[in-house]
Amino acid sequence: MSTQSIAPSPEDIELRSEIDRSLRHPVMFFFTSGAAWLAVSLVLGIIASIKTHNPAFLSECAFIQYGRSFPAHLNTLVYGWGAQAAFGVMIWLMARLSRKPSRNAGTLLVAGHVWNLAVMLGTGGILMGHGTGKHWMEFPTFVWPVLLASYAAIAIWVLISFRVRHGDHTYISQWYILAACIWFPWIYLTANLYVNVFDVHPLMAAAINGWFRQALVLLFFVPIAIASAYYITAKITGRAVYNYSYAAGGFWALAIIAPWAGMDAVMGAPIPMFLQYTGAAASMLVAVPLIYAGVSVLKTTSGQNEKLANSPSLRFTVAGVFGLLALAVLGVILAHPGAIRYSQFSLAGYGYDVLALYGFFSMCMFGAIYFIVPRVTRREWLSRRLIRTHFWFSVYGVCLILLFCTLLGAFQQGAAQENFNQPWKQAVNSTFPFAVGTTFAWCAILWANLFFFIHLTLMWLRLGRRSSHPTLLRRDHSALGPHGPEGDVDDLEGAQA
Amino acid sequence: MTLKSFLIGMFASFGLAWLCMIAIPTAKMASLPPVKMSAEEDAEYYQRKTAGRIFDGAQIYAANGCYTCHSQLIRPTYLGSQIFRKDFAGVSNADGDTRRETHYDDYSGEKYAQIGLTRMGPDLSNFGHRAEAYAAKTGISAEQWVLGHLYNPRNNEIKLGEQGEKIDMGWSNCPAQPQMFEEKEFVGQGDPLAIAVSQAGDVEQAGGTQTQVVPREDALVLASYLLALKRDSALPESMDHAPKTAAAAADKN
Repeated sequence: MSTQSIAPSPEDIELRSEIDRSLRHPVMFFFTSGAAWLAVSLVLGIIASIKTHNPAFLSECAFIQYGRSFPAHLNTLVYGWGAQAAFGVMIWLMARLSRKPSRNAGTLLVAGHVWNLAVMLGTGGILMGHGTGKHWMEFPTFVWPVLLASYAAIAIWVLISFRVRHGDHTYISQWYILAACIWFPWIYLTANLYVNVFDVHPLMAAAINGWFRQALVLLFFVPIAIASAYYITAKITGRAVYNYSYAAGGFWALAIIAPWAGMDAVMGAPIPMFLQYTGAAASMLVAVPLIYAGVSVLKTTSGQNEKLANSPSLRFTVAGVFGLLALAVLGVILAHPGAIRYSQFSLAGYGYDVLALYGFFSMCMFGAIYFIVPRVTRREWLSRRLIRTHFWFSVYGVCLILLFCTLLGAFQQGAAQENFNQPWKQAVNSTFPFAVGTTFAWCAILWANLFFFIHLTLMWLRLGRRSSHPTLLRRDHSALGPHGPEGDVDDLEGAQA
Repeated sequence: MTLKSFLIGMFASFGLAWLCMIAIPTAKMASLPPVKMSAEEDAEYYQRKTAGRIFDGAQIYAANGCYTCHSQLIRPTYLGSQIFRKDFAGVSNADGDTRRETHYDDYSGEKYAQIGLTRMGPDLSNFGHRAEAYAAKTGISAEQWVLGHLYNPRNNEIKLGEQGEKIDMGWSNCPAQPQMFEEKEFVGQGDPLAIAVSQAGDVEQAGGTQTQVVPREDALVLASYLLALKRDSALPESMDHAPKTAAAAADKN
């Protein structure tokens, strides 16, 4: 486990292991089923991406044609993997920081199963041709109340464990998690009521859908990932978060700016100008809190190269934070009204979503998972080679998507669309190389996550190494083998008993 | 920061944005004023006329993800130059120029404006006009042409007229929609909207019955929706200059 500057007292160790034990099943359930959905999403993403440059590929199968596999890919990424990884991290982190074991593992597990069932029905609905055609809300409309209800059954315990916390100090991570807990139902309910239930103007429904996507990223996925990044870096480096007294300022800046962002997705549509340009301004301005959080995490880890090289959690988290900085800068570039003529209807929006959901959020979640799972299963990760494969292929994949989808491809495609004297064929042809590149990037990411899923499943089955020595990414040669002596967890347990 | 001040801050920051971005604009957009065709006092009001199975067609359009590649939005010129692309924003020929930006009435009859995510395919705001022009050139009906495109977007066999050269469509990256069509036996002349009819050789093998690929209900509804996409009806801001000049010239003569 990570080295800490202050040795914890025996009562602390006992409390922590009690918390970990109380949450073992729900946390592992969310992580493993999330990883399985991630694999499903990646397979669908590769199929969809191949179809963009080779439309004859599997074209006889109606249920995975592009217009269905692409929405299914993003919806499983958001609700199957993203939300479930967030739930796992949320409940564990809140319990640990509030220093209270959970007494509701059963409820959490039931709610988790309902969530998975709803996502499965929704994905099936999209593939069978019952999608609603509202991006990130394509699940047939009967799904959203079920998702919201099972969310409520999960999040209520996060709020309760905050209410019954021990000690006076609240950490910045707790505020971020608490806020995400409150924002999610507000955003999700608003979007679904206005778009699916109320009879609103069709253009307003489309605008609210754009707002919903950006709000879900900036006010749910981003705060959870920032909370996890703050926690993991402070924990592993054994230092206080850099410039901690200003961290609350970063939080409030996000809370004030982010809810205005998103309607730039329908820029140029005949809706009030105020909505389009406020949306674009907020999408750009939100770079300030994002960069603030990113820089304070990086400052916390500065000079800790040894730990960065060794600890999988820290390495994934720091890579994720670089994703956060890239996201902040790209938000400024893509939402700038001067660039929107190129970026609005190109691959850029997809690239931005992938960068937010995978490059930043997922990388931070992987960091948290590599930290949490050994603690709740009381087993260490099996192989550092598997972790390294997961890390490097993820990083390469994200960089390629950033390059092909968000920057080069987007502006090349946008420029070809703007060149109105040339036939449309040219706009199609100019996308081709970048579509091929995107497929290649998704293949790298799938390769990475295949190993991650296998590794995580083995850990869930408690087949991890029985050792008190954590799996570090680098280690000097030792006579005892690469991981130190085996079995000393049980020796310790025996000695205590 | 106490829990109380945290909650107040949360509700204030999010609630203000929620009111200004969601609640109030949606309420205002629910009752938009009618558009007057000119500044004159007794000028008539704009009335949008649509035909076709728009409500059902929009659902088929959504469920099959057409919006992932096709947009339905002509942006103002300061946000893009698609208004100048041939036949995107309306029809401009010797008879007149109906090009204009998208108007808030253009999506009437639909529950959700399919602005679209990307332009992997062309904008469809005025697809109806393009399909008709295309069909006129190739000598088939517009509906037949749309159905043929849905069945096989990369059909290279369509000719410009009876003896004309073949049109190269092999570059299209549009997905085919095989689930919207079915193979049926037929006698006599068959369905006029049939896509492909079995050849004489196949007929002998199949024991004398002839088969044809015919569109299902989904395809017919979608084709009706697509052919109704003509978002260039005259508005005060349309580029409708040429007919007036032509009419004025005719008066002078």
